[in-house]
Amino acid sequence: MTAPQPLVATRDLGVHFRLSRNTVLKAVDRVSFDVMPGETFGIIGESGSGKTTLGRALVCLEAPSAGQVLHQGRDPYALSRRQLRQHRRNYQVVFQDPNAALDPRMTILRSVREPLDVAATMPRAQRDEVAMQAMERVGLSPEFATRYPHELSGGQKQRVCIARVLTLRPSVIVCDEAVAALDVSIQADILNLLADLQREFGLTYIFITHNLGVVGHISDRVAVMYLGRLVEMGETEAVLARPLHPYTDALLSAEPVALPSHMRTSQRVILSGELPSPVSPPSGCRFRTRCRFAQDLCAAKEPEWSEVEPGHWAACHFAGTLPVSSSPLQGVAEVVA
Amino acid sequence: MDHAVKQPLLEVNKLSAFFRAGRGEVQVTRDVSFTMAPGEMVGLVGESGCGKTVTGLALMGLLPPASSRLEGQILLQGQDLITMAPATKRRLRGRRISMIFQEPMSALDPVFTIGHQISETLRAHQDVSRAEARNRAIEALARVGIPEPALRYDAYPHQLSGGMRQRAMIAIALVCEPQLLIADEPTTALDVTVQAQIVDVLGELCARMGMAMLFITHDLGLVSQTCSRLVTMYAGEVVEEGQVDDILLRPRHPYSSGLLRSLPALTQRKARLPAIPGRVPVRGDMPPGCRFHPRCAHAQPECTAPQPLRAVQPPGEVRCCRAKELILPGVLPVERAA
Amino acid sequence: MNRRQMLLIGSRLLQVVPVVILATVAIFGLLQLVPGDPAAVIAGEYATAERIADIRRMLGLDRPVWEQYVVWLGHAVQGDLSTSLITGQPVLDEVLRRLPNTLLITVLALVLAVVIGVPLGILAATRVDRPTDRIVTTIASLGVAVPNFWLGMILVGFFALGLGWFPTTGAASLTQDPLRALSHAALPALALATGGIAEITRQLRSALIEVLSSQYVRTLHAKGLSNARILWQHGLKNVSLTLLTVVGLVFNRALGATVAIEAVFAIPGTGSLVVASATNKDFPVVQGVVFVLVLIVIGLNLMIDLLYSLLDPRVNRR
Repeated sequence: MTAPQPLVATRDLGVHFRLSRNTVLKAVDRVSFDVMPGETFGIIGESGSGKTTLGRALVCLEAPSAGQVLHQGRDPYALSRRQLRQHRRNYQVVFQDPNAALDPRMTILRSVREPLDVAATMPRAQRDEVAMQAMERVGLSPEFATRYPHELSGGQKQRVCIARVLTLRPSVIVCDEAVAALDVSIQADILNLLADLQREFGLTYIFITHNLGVVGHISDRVAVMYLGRLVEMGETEAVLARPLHPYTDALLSAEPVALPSHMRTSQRVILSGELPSPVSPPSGCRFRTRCRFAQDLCAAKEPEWSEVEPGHWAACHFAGTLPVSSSPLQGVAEVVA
Repeated sequence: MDHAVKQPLLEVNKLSAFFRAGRGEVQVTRDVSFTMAPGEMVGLVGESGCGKTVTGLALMGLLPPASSRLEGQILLQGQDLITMAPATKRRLRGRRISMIFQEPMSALDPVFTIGHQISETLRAHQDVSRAEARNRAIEALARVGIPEPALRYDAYPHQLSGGMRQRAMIAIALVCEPQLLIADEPTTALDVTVQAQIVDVLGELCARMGMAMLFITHDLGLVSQTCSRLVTMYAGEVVEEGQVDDILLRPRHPYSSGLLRSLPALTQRKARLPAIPGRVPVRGDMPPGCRFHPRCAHAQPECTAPQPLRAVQPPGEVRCCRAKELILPGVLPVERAA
Repeated sequence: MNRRQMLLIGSRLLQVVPVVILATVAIFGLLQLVPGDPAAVIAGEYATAERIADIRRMLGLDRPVWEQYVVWLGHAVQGDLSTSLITGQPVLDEVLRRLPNTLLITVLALVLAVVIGVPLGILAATRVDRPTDRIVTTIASLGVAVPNFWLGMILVGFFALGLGWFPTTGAASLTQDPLRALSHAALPALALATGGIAEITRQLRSALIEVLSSQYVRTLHAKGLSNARILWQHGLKNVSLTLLTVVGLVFNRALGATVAIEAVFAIPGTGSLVVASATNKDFPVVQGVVFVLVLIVIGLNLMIDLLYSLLDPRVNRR
């Protein structure tokens, strides 16, 4: 039986920005991972991690400066411009701020229909039909068609963005902090919707966020980014329950979880120091300036990205040997199970 | 209801805020009541539009007087802030009651150094020389954990990272050692690891200075981590109030319960998240009686009658006529909570 | 002086060249369209066609147009602004003799615009949408609409001819007799200033309104600072950049408007010089004035840019 081919893959992907004559910002630096069809792949990172740039590179919004992005094994940039434009329709993205993503002067129907208008493969009546169906699928009744964005709530606007993306029947949707700007109860709604759509249309999601609670809930596998590099990757349960990298550990520990005090397994790891400048990251392991386990080796040599346990990768000289603080999320998992 | 044995630091009684809209006015918050004891950390929780920020601003007297109006009482150690003369109230701000805001970049004056902004607060309230103000400002910067405080005194806000700016704002708010700090979503714009640092600093300073804190946020996780008491707001009203641990385990109001249950971390992985159906009512178009009843799974005909805050055991208050009979899931599913 | 500032000065100095060329080419081209012939003016009323032709040859006016320009440019870059076709006097001397009068009324107009416009702007911004604000805004609109030469004539008619408080025409040397110089400059400066007052009032008002409703002003209130302190220390410092930009604009415009004002008040400045010379198609004089004025404007704008970095810490990056 042949192994299933990853739908999206990166091989040593780098995205660099030249800021001035002698400074280059490597927003994404030698990142490699696979995303299998039908899975939800989470990417966790904070500001400065490069996760947004990575998301954009995955859907060909940023050209790689080094390495490759592969769609179904093929390099999209090897295609001609016209072919690339068609190819892109299959790989879509939903952004964080639905206000910025919707033209305030276009009705909802026009916004949702716009990708079809651009693709121009169907007559207008059919495009309207498809758009209305997409709207219905995301839970917006037909009366929304003639409204304008300012008349809708945040959650409704985000649904419009999702409907818009659905019209093209993509295989992959990158969600870049798609629920971060929404209230908790709306967030739950949208996450449920995304899960339904995934089942119905066989979608593959790449979910970029800083919220561990969200990513822990919806992802099958998860990768953690710091300063442009991947520091850990694996099955969600494994990464959240037994993190191999101190940064993941710190993130888990820092995530505020709603638990009464007597149920908290509380050792909190507070990260010291500040995020180093992405333009000149620390030598060796980038995380060493804030890591409580840092040794001389960490400054001298950059850790290898290795499969420490089956399916569980990490970039740390001491991965797997460090004492990990009990994460509050772990406590919740026990409670919930 | 008075939890504190000694006189409460803050007593908010039936506070209502009205904003001018067109020719009339619209009521933004209604009958908000809660108390705070000295040194207590209270979380004011709700989703956007629930009126929690408006309440915080009302406590500080920062709502624009030309376009807003307050009814009710705000008693700070017995003195009513609403009827107080504006000049007297101004002297309280920054001195006995301080506030920090959400976006530190836009909340700090960009053309003055952070050191100057701290000293300025000090000199506005206390009679200190420039030199002494500078020293105390540097101390304040050190207390909030800013490294090399003497150097950072001369830094401008745009030269600092988000976390540092928020620390600077905290330093400004705390330099006169107020009795009450109102923190309006202070960490929402920050990364989670930075958030943890800031929350830590706040907790430590409150403990050390014996300062009370009203933590306004939508993040129940944060509240459970930092506060001992919790006040939940919905559509401009207080719907529940009590000890954090009690409410987390045994919420009395269906909205609190719904909010807790919709947190992704509390549902089994990949399972459907219990979401609250419907939408928050718009101002000016509120349902009669309980404002949550159109979305509530436990609604009954009597919910359309006006609902006051009722006392419940364990000590708390809830605005729900069925509080005594309902058993609602909180952090734990219902069967496990009993 | 840091590297960035030096780069700024350097780039501005480089800018002088293309701007001067563009301006003088444009003026030169326009002058060709003006009816008239300097040779005829020099030759006088009863000159013969032959005499005129001779003079034209002597002055080099029979050369092709582009050649006339290039020759002029060649001399100009060496500092020689050549001589007036009509009087034969060196252009540079004439311009420098008249420049102080023009600069006096322009700078005075600028000072008036700031001294009157800033308080009005603050007044309007602190009483937004109240009667005071509406009055001030209306006055500002009028200030933009009223033509300054018309206002100049009204002022002369009322204050000079009517009340006799000010002289009606002319100018005096600032260095030799400052009081008299100022009394001659007062009315013209006031006429020049109206547009500037209006502009500064409006811009300052809107910038200040924006600042006063910003988040950081809310923090300042939360600190317990008085309204006065918030306005005068924080508010003004934050709008100072806008103010500086507007001052630059007002100066540029006022300098251009001196042409009309000097005509109304018969001031011997560069404005009236330009008008007279243009009428006679005396292009070296016109070009010379333009050249000098361009240098002044670029110089002032450069100073303003350098001041930016002093006022706004965000601008001063290494």
